[in-house]
Amino acid sequence: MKKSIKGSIFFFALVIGLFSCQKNVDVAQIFPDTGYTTSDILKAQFAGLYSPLASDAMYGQGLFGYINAGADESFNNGVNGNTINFELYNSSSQDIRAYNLWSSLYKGVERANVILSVVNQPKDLDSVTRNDYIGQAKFLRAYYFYMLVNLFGDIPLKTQLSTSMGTDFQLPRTPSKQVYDYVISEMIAADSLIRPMTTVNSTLRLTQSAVEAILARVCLTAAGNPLNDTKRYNDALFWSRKLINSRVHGLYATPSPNFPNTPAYARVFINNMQNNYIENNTLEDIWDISYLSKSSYNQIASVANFSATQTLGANMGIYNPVVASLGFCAGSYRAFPKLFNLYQIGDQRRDWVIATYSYKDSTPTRYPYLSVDFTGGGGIGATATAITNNVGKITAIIIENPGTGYTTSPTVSFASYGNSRGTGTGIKGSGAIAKAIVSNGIVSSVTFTNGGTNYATIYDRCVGKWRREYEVNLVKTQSYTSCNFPVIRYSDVLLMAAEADFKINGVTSTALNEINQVRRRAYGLPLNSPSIIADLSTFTLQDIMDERSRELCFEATRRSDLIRWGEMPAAMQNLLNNNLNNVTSAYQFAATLAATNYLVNPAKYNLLPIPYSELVLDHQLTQNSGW
Amino acid sequence: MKFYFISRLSHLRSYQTIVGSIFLLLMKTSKFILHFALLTLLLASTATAQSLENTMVTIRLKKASLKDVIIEIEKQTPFRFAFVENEIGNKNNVNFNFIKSSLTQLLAKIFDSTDIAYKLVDKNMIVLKRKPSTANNQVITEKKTLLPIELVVSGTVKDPFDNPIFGTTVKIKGTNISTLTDKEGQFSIKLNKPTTILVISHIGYLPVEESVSSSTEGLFIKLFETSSKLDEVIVVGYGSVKKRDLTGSVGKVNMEDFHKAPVSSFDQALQGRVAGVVVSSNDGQPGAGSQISIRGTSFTQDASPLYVVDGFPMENMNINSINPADIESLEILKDASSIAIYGSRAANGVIMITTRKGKVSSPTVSYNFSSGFQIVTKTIEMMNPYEFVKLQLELDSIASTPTSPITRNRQIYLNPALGFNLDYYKNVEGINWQKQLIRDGSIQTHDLSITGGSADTKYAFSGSAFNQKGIIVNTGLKRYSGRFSIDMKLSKSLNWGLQSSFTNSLSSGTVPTSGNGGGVVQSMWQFRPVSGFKNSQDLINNLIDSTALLEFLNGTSSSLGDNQINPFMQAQNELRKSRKNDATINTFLNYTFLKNFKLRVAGGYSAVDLKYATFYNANTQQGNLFVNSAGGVSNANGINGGISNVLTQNILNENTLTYNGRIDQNNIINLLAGFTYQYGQSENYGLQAINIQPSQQFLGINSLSAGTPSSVGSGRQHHQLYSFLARGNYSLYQKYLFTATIRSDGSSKFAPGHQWGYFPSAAFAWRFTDEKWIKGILKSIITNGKFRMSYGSVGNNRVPDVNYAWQGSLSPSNGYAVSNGQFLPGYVPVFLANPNLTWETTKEFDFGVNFTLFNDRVTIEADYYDKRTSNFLMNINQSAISGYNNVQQYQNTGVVRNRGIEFSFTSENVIKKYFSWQTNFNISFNQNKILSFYNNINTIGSNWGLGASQAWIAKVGGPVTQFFGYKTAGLYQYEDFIKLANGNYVLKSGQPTYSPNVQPGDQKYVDLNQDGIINANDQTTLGSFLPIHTGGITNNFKYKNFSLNIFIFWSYGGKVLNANRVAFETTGNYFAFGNQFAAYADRWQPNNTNTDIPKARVVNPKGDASDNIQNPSSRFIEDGSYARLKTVQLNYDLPASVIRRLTIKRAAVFIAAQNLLTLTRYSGLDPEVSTNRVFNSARTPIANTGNVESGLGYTYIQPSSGSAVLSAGYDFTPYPRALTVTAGVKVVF
Repeated sequence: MKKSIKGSIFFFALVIGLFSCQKNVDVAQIFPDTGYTTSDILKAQFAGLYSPLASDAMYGQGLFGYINAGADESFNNGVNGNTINFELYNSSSQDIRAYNLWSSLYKGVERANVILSVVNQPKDLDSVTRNDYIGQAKFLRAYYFYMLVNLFGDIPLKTQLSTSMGTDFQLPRTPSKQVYDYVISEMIAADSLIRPMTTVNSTLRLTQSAVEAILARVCLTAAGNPLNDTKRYNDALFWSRKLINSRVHGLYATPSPNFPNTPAYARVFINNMQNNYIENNTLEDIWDISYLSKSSYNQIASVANFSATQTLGANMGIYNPVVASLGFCAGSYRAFPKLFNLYQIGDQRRDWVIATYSYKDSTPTRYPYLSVDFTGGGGIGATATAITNNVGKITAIIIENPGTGYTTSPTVSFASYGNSRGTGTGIKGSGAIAKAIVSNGIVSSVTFTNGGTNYATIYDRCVGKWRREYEVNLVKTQSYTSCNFPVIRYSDVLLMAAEADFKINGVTSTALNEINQVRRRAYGLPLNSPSIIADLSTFTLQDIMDERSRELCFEATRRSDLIRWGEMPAAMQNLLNNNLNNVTSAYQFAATLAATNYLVNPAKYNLLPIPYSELVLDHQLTQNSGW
Repeated sequence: MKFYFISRLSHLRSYQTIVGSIFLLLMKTSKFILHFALLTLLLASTATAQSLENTMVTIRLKKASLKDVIIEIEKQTPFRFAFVENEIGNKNNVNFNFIKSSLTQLLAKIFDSTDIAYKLVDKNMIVLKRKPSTANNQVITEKKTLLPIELVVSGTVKDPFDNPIFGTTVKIKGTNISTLTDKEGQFSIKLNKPTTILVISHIGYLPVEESVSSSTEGLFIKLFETSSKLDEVIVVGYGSVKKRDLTGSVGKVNMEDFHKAPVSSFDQALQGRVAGVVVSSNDGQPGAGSQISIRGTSFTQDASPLYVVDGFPMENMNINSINPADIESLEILKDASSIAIYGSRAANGVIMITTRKGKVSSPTVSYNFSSGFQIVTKTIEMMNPYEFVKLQLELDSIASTPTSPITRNRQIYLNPALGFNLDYYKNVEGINWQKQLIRDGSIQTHDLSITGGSADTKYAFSGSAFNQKGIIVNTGLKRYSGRFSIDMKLSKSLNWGLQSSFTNSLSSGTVPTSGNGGGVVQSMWQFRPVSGFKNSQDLINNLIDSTALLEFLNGTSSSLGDNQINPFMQAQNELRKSRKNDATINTFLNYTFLKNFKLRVAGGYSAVDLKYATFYNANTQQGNLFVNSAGGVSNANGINGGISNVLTQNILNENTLTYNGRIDQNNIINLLAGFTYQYGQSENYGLQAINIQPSQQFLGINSLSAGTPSSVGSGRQHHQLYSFLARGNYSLYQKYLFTATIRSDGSSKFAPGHQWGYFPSAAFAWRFTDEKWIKGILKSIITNGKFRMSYGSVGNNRVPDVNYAWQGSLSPSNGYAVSNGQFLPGYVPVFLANPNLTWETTKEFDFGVNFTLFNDRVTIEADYYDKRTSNFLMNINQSAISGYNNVQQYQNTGVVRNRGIEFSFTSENVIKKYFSWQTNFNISFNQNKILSFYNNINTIGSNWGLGASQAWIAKVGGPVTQFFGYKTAGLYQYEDFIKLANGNYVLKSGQPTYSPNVQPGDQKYVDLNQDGIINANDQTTLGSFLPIHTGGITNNFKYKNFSLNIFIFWSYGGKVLNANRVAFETTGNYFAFGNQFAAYADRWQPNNTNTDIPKARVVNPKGDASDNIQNPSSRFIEDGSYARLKTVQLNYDLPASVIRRLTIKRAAVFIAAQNLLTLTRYSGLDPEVSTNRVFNSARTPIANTGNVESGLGYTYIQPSSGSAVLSAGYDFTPYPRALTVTAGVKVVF
């Protein structure tokens, strides 16, 4: 019995002894902590920081397409009564696309937070480089916040590291004013840290130029609806003029050297489509989102492993049913006649941004939507544009170039094709009979006895700003291109400067010159020689609005512009009225869907909904009104 | 002759009537099978009995006694003699000389002249008895009256297999007169009065009372094993106890019943066997694991229990690594007291598996063979060609607008060139794709084992081969395993043992469900029954649906569509192979010293090497090489394949010291203390090659070098665990039993400061029937009884290794083209780590009672438990504003409670000589409730695979998982609308809607918040998959050498989300022109408005009117209750005489069936289903990049039971379940 007690006591001692010898049981970590970096890691971290910009939700498609395209410039023809999308103003807070955009932006924010917390660690960086890194991270974080506040309204201003938040990621919405103030102050701070374009020489990363241009845009936005922080017009003017006066940038006045028959205006977009590869232009472009063709990365189009998937040119572009050779394009986006009609005769931009032709097969043969052909008569060079009505009847013929050397009336004929696949298919229209009148060697007018019917209309014509025929790719894939996206370019800066100036000072000669520079280039004229054709003698805000649309259409700015001007409801109503008069039955549904839906509740649609799943997870969030 | 069995106990009668009628009912249902099986077995049983006449003996004995002769005869023949020694006298010194005499002759010669009569009883028992002095006749007649000179009764005691039972006590009731049986099971006893009762008893067997009289001769008694098994040994953590001394709640699986199910892995036979253990398999895929949950489920990602195989704890056990035949005992530790010794990882319960060990005996070789077939239990009725074509034409008209009529389907099906009209299809049979894909499977098993040993060395070897051909073409499971165990006594104080096993398993074939990306089950449902051409042979002959292919090739469509593949060709051509090599080696050394101390040092190593290979040749969807006329390809990867490999290794060291102290008779203590260390690591790598040269594809998976490397990745993770444990047992008067346990664990999965957890528990049991004062009261009813009570805490650390450190990932998908031509992969934070993460703790209270009634004939066990799991670990969704790629974070999330009642009983309903009937019944109720969430979380939702919308929700006050969605309110009907002049329908004001596009015939939902709009706020809970109760009932019948086992399992009250109906009773672009379930013919149409199936639409993907979100709704939630006749086995033991002749120990033939019949109202294939294969990161190595996870991501070959409780009860294109019938033999040499 004694023994047993002894044994028990021994046991208790043993247990107490065992349980008291506890130690740290860590094992070696397999990946480095994100709280640690080297200059090599930092480079990779920056790739990660820029990465959200190239996502599908942002410049891969969302910002120019399904999120923002619902304005008065273009419509998506690939929709039917069951299609749901933000651009159609019929989606809900549960739509994953809102979440994807939201989360892409916050990913960018956190990646910047992480970089800013560790950027001082690498000892091998000189202060210029380090400051440049800090500047880029600060700016991009601010830019992501700007996108958030602009699209979603009040949003959580999360500047702290997620690692410091432990397990509670529920943050309230910060008022827009505060967000804009923060964004602007951060961007200003970045301006003095980031390298200038002159040393960077690339539009694919951030430069001082990009910072200043975007600052102007952000300030203009803050000055307009809904914030109406009008003192920001001064800031917008300051930053745009600072950039203009630095004389680092200018407009392209001559065509792309490789494609001398294209308008000077098209040079930026050809460069975009060529991935800024053949011509690395830093004159007019200020900041491009860079897409490396998947095909040049690893010869494959694997969405899973390479998320940078640009659809510009393949979705929004000139219709081409064939992948081989020029590259496939669904031609989903079509211009509205409203945009078409904004352009005056001689404006080279019109026939670039609104395609005049489509493709039908793997050959480069262009099939015109509706061409007016002059043959015979002894002269050359006469060109004209025919205008059609809602049944495809030609209602007017506008002579754009009267030609020279005509002695007799040339024969007028029409060729018209719709978007269809296969040589010679899709012939449209019949019955039009017209006669050219010649006087003094030129075609002075065209009269027609019959307008015919069923000719192609503007609704048939695709957005032609980015054309895959210029793409440089090892292998062309059907749905994705390597086209870079121009976030901001010099003509935008000029127009912003003019607008800010106008808001503060009314019409000034500086502002007028800035607008006219843009216009002269559009007409293919020298930038610095006054032009009777191109120049405005004075201007109103409406002129700036129209000029912005003519110049910057489809570049993901129109909807934001209309909203900040407070013009969105009126624009959509006008669009609807305009369409109801002009649209052919085949396009009636697609062309009127967005405006019809929008006008049900315009106040609601100025903002995207806070993603439903975020509301579920963050109880401090509230939903935007109407959603 | 008379054979005696126990006298009837009158108070059992009514009970027998009840169970008897149940039995009759069961007999009716299984009548057919029984007949069939009996017929088979009767043909097999043609054994001939040996007779005295043709048994020859040769005896040459000098000066011998009669007894010597008897001994000699017994030596030479199977005959045995029963006699009372002094009756046959002491006649000595006789010479016997018989050469090849028949026994008849010999016995006549010896006994005819004596006063001893002999008689052959039973088959081989010769009873010798003194002749009555008056008798002349040599043969004793039945009706003879014995004179009460000397009353001696002799007999034999055998077990149900006719093996004699040595050492059985035969006692005259109410006296001290007793005797024991000899090695042959024989006894003889002198009676004290002419008529009395003998009590025949043996430990482990039910005692038998036999009334005898002096006229009784050659008594033959069969003893049946007791089922109360109070003395059976229960394996618990780090030791074993007798059931009578057990303080905790431990369920022991009846291994005899268990081994009767023809299954490939033990989990499949575990269902319904033990109260409180819920086993449900995801679907019928060969080699797929089950979800095993013990006493309800917590939130934990991985709710599978801890497996302890021969003392080796394994969190992620590969259930296929153990051949079920090798399992000798299976115990399930349920209450805190039992599992606390495994404190750290035991919160989900512990399954103790003990494999076959050697025993002291001559070498015993046993061999089992079984072979059988599998047939599908149910297929879904699809639309016939007429209904299908009718729908296609309707879709045309729906897609048409006045200005652009759509005639796609009209052109295809009503091709005027062929002269088909809609009515033509009434007489067309069409292709039944289910018939194409589903075949009769087969199943074959060989098991061989050799066991034996001496007192010093015991050994067991076993080997097995298992081969299953699944019921879907090109699916199957093969497994080869070997196991070895040896125990040696090295010296008086030293014992050493080693166990080692190796298993190679290969699962192959298509995966019918991989998320929602389709698969052959989806394809075989949706593929068109007719093509529009005569005979529709083009569908059979082409890989891709001929129309889809045509539209792609001529450029009308830019892709082939995702699910337009010929499922039969796909299944035949795709290669998906998962090979697992599983090796374990455990060894221990026991050192006994100072009499009472025992030190055990054990070490073990286990490795699982998983290789997952896929190869898609040109005849698969993933590898097709179609190029359209525009040069477009539908499959940019071309022919492709990939291999991934995961190696998981565990090292374990355990050191325990036990002390068995006995202070005196009434104070017994048993103490255990120990230290254990476990280290685990998992490494993986994987690669994929694409665009493999078509000329090289014949090499299959070996052709990867002929392609372009695509995604290559590698990763590793590891963890370690230090534990201290101690347990004390104290028994007072052997009536009051106390147990106290404590375990402390330090896990590397948590950050310093949060690593150590302490898990104490205590239990008390009171054997109340041992109290004298109670004994007197209850004696006549309760034989044995015990109350148990326990309380304690256990932990859980099932999160991925190193979950507290913030990590980055380098990958191209987060990269950016930083300059022209230069693309940099991005390094981004990916891992939302939680540095505060710590142990999940479950506190459990258990109150239980065990008792046996009526002399142990009825055993009852009941338990009430209340488990509170706090700080439960969960990978919860975080707001995307965290900015991490993976917005999930492991957190200690809240408190969840599981309360329940378990009840099981075993009853020996009938015990007769030729017939016995035993019933096991168990039922468990569990109520699961979330008590709170931390961090201001209100609800946790889970998305379903068919869209981004949530189909499950967990909220405070409810169970961990409930279906979530809209309540349907029938369909919108004409009366809900105003008809405009232009013929359009506009919803009447006040009719709530979710879309302006709603038209008559569309789905209508209840506007729960009555705000006039149907939106996300109108979603509600729609029931849970968790059953109210589950249970099993096993009946064992034995008749002579036949035994019949019938096992029924049920689950009541659970719901199932039948997502198949979302896809196949709704049209949409998801697979727009595919076939639909036959039920869809009853969809809303202007002339068929009284239905709950909405009208056909052409929506994208398959949502409601003008809604691209596929909303879960009450329409798809179905009652998933079912009762299943799960196992029926009929066994025939060859008679002893045959066995002796064959010189084997035992032989049996059997026929067994699994999944015979399921009663349910569920409309899908099977209500036991859960196909939402949530990727379980807790058991996956952290991979840097690449597609490495795919090996485990497709968790169809799961390491063990992966539980995705949050999204459970989801049914989408499951692998159909099979009815398995096997027949086999068992031979023991």
